[in-house]
Amino acid sequence: MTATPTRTPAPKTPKVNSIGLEKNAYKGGESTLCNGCGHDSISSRIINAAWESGLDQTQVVKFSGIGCSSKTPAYFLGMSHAFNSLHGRMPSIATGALVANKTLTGIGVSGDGDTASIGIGGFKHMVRRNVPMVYVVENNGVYGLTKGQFSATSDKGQKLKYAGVNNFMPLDVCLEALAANATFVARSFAGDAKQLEALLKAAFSHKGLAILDVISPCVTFNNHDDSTKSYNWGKEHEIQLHELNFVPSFEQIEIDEYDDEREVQLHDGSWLLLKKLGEDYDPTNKILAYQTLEDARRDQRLLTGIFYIEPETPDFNDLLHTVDTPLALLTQAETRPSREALKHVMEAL
Amino acid sequence: MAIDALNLAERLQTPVFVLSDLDIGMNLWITEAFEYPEKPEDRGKVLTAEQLAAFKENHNGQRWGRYLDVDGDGIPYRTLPGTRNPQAGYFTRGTGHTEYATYSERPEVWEAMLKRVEKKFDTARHLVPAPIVEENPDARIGIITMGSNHPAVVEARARLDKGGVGSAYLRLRALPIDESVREFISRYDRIYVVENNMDGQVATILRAELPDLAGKLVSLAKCDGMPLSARWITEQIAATE
Ligand SMILES: Cc1ncc(C[n+]2csc(CCOP(=O)(O)OP(=O)(O)O)c2C)c(N)n1
Ligand code: SF4
Ligand SMILES: [Mg+2]
Repeated sequence: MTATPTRTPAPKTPKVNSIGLEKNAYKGGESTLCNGCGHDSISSRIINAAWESGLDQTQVVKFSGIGCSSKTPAYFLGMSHAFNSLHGRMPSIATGALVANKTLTGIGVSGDGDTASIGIGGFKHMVRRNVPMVYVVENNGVYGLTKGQFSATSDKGQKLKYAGVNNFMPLDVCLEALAANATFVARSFAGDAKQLEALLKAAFSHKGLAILDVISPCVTFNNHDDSTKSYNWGKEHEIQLHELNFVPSFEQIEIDEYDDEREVQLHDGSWLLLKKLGEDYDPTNKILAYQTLEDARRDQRLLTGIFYIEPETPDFNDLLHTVDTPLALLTQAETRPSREALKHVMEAL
Repeated sequence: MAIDALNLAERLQTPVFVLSDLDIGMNLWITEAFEYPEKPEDRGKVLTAEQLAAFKENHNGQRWGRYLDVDGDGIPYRTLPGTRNPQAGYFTRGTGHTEYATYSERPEVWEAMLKRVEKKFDTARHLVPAPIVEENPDARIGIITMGSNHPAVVEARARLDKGGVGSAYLRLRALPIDESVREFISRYDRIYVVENNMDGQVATILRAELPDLAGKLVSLAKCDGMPLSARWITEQIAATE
């Protein structure tokens, strides 16, 4: 009997990104969410987008409020600092942190309850200030963590096992963001990996606040086929506004004039390529964005893509003229006014 | 005071509340000119990327943990977002966490964390502004108050003195209290806790902190939208003394 010669395959060199890290390095702790929860898919998309964009995790800071969605920053980018704040208060914490250090890349994760119910005030003010951050709303139309109550994005007429029938009109996160003068408004679906990753990468390259309303089914409390936040409904009703491609600034591209493509250059030199699908959509036209969102809402279509973008509008730190050095690293000589200054104030009183 | 509050907040890694009241906050007051602050800023226990890399070496082989108390005062070291060291990041959350900032629901972990915070609270007693005490060896009673009640208490003490009722005085400037409050209360027969609120909140706190001395405390609390008057304080004390 002759032994079959076995060949040991050459060790595969692990794939690394532009800063030499494997994808595994972008993971976080083990998720404690329900199996199949949309929020876990979004975490995977964030891991992919951050890895492919070569984000330096030590320069990223994660924020969240309270909810199943708000637990997820523990499950991605494990090397980054994170702050799990109070319910609906993520915008305040994030605004403070990103003003204190404007060199950081901020990513906030919130839920529909966290953003549209208790946190709607903070949300709108963060939008109007254009705080530079990626803001992901993991929208399942329900309070998941507290076991299935209606949120402000629940459909009118929706039935839930414990909560009964919802008689109130929902808020539309994208419309609320537009009305508050958002500079980047997009919607996606947790089940649409390709589009969500492209949107996340574009959001990381955006200069101000990027709002991503991601429909993210709650398999435990709101996954009935007639719910607009369920997997089946989403799969059947998702209509993409455009086919979306993101080209990072470190890749050379030739932009040709194609009839069916529209490109938008982002502040950091990267490109968003929007390939025309059914409709000819211009994402820099705000009135069109309102119209499109309102039509989609009335026609019960899950329209996804970028509704609106202003790539060059000044962000919060531009308007505040904050210094480049993180405030915590300024020396006392730089932050404490002089004796003369105090004397001057005292004399003026 | 704002500088002190910020320094304390960074040193203790906890929110510090500066309490004002309607009388101070809504009216114009003449004060002495503010003096230039000579005290340096205190950022507390913050590690830079380099200090974090050298932490084990400098702490008997102990690895850095965000909630690990290495020097016995209940205050662990922290890092700031943006620190260029892959070990620097951690997840801040309200629920159970270990000394290394990982999630845990184990009761003993939860309890150990609260014990550490309790230790920090005791550390705070000696860091916050101490009370200002005016002893009076001839007096049988003491008065405790705080904030904008001070001028009314000063005047009430003078009036009481004239009527033959001498008093000692302790003006609280911060919580949590230190031993000097216990020592003050122990020295006198009765202590009047004068405060401008409905339910005698400071008296309640002092009773809880010093249960063995609770019987000596008499709460004088009033809240009618006006500052306390020296007359009211004098009458209340004179009625029993
Ligand atoms: C101030 C406050 N109010 C209420 C709660 C209770 N609470 C916790 S999570 C939650 C709703 C979460 O819903 P959502 O933001 O949609 O997150 P999901 O769990 O659905 O991802 C509520 C009401 C709280 N934690 N704090
Ligand atoms: S309850 Fe719903 S939202 Fe929460 S983890 Fe489970 S599936 Fe996700
Ligand atoms: Mg929800």
